[in-house]
Amino acid sequence: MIFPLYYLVFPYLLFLIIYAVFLIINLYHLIAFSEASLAGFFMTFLLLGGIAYILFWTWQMSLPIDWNYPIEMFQNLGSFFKP
Amino acid sequence: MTYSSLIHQKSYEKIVYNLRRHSINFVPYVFFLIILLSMGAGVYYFLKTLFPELFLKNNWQAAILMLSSVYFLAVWLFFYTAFIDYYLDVWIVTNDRIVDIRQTGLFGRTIAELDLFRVQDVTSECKGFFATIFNYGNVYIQTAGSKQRFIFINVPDPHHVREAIIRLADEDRKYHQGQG
Repeated sequence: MIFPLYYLVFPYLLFLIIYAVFLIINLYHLIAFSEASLAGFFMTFLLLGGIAYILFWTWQMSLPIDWNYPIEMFQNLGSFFKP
Repeated sequence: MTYSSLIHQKSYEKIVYNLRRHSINFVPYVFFLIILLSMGAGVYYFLKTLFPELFLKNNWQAAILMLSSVYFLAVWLFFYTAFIDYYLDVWIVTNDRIVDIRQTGLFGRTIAELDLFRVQDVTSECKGFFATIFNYGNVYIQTAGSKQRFIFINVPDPHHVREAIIRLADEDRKYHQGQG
């Protein structure tokens, strides 16, 4: 089975969607159940800044990767079952 | 959102205390975050040093990058969730009642109220090395007729809070007796 390397990005994107849901729930809790405060603002700023940095780092590190590179999986599976 | 609207503050009611756990209680989470981030970075450099050939292969490089990104993002959100859990545990003391708001994880929330005139016994406790140094501890509030008691966990200056609650409870009792 051969597939291009960019297929790896799909589960990553799925993770990011789930991540965004949890992030929104957290932010909703902070906005809905507490008063605006410096501590809340600072921690939210730290969170969003950190996320932006990690995503930027991921993007930077992914630039030299050839995402069309073919990945071969289970290529020896047939020979495995041969006597 | 303000605490006044959160507790549906009555017209004659005044918020006296707005308590949450002492900030020193959040420090272990910061240490835990540093350890988790260091572990991630450590594993990355361990792989890069011992198995440099992995980083020359396109597929391995991509897999390691995706996994690292997922790991660091998850650690970061875990830290923020811990902060939310810490920050949204609030005890509000007014001149009429005590409101106990507890956040348990992301999807659990408990709000309990107690009329001040029902307060019968208040105990403050400051136990342990750090609690003594940083002056924080528990305040136990026992009500008449109820076995359950309110606990303010690791709040700053617990002895002062106990005195204030006893005084407020006395005032509220007098007010209710005057009305009756």
